[in-house]
Amino acid sequence: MTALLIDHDDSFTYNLQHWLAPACTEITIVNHRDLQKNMFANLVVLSPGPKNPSDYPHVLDFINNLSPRAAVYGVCLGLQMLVSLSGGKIAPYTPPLHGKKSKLEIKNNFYSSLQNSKVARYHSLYCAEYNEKQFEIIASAQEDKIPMWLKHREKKWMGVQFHPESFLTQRPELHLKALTDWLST
Amino acid sequence: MKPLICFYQDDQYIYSDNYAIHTCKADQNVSDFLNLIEASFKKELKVVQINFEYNTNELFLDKKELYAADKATIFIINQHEIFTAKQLINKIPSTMNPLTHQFKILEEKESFKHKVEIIKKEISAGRIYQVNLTAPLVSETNYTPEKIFKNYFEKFGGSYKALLPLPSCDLISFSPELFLKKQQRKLKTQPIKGSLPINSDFAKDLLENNKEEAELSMIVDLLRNDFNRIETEFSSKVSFHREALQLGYIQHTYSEIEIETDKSLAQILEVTFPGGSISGCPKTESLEVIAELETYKRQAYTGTLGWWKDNNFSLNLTIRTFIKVKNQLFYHSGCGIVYDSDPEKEWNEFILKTGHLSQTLNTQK
Repeated sequence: MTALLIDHDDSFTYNLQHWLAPACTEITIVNHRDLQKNMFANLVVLSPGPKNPSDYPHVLDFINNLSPRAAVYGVCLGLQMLVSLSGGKIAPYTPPLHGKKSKLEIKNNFYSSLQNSKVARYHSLYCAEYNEKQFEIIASAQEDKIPMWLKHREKKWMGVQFHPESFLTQRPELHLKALTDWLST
Repeated sequence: MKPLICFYQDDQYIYSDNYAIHTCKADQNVSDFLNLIEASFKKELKVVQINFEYNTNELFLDKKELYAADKATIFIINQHEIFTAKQLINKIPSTMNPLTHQFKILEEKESFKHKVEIIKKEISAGRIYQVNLTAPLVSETNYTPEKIFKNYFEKFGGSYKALLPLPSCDLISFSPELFLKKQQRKLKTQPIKGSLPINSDFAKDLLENNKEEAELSMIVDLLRNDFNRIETEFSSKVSFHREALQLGYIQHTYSEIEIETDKSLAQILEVTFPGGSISGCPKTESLEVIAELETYKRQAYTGTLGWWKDNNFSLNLTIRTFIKVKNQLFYHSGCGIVYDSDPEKEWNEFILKTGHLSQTLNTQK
């Protein structure tokens, strides 16, 4: 599998690359400013990053112009981009959580191996509203019930609010398996 | 020649008064400078010093400079001795009385607290997760750099002390923080975050503190990222997390990250510099916030210094450091600001990190 990893000037992008590496034959990292319309891979990965989805209109355009069958996986800001493209609402989260851990409350049995698993959170914003006709919730956080993991019902889009690449996240290899299992369905 | 002292290993120090100085020219790229030196003096023992702004200079062009300084300096050590701390201190002539300095902070308390509030707003807006905010202090001094080094040597704990006679100033460093150490193929870093007065209960007040834990965890992920940028074949590992570092005047928590690599010093610095624990997260945006809020260039402060020989080097993060320029003595302090930071407490931590200077500082308002 080839992956195109779009970097939003984040300081965790290369952790994401190393986390994805066992599942990929090639990972191309491209800064969001250098994104070209004709870039493609088996999987497009949206990195975490500072600010709001609306600060990256060129990346939103890029995702919008992909084929509906194109696989897109968003992390943190990346999830928020997918949700805001589908008419959801992104809002400030108080207090922001940076470097803190939450337990997953899994709602889809297919992912039950990650029930109660601890994940790292780094976010000041969150998906305050998402269209339930479009997105299925896979997991929320046990502590505050915030959406942690969403999957699009029609498009091949998946996103996580937590950071699977963080050293604070338990069982990162199971999170990668969940991603590859989803890609192969 | 003026004596040069640099930490070596296991509480031993390099001492030299026979060396040649090379400085990076204003229009020269620091990586090119390092590569040229490596090509000509690979096997020689060298002592390196690099300023904070070396690879982000365009952000800080309009900042005031505290003193004139070269971007980077390298000492080629012709002859040296290795001393224990005790031998080193005996080598430097004594002064009759302890030195006293009256330091003035070049930042008002209210202004510092206001900057903390601005950073907290930027964190709420999602622009950044954490920023290291710093400010300089200044005092008059009539003492030689050696005397200042000796006077504060025992008072500041820390394993990465040095006395460097740079062409434009003298650096007197009591850094406790290891930025990069490479032994053959193994590269490691030991970021410090989380501070507490020495008389507090470490296990209870620091290890159980969620704010301090999150601050260090964030920097560990950032440094894993910077190390993962060096290599694709090997991944970085966290070798330990949240261990105690007792310094006599303050206590901290720190962690260690390592990776296997054959890359050169210049290549490694290009992707890891400036250090995550003294910039912020995400690093790119944090550096912009630092450029917006801090009044002065940091120059030697939060840069790096240490020794380099063949494929091995050990470099500190240049914090807890005095810079002597003629009869002026500069010092800097700083704090990691996160969303839960209390401006008053951060100001107190700023004072606490001035170590034994704080006894005179605390009496100021």
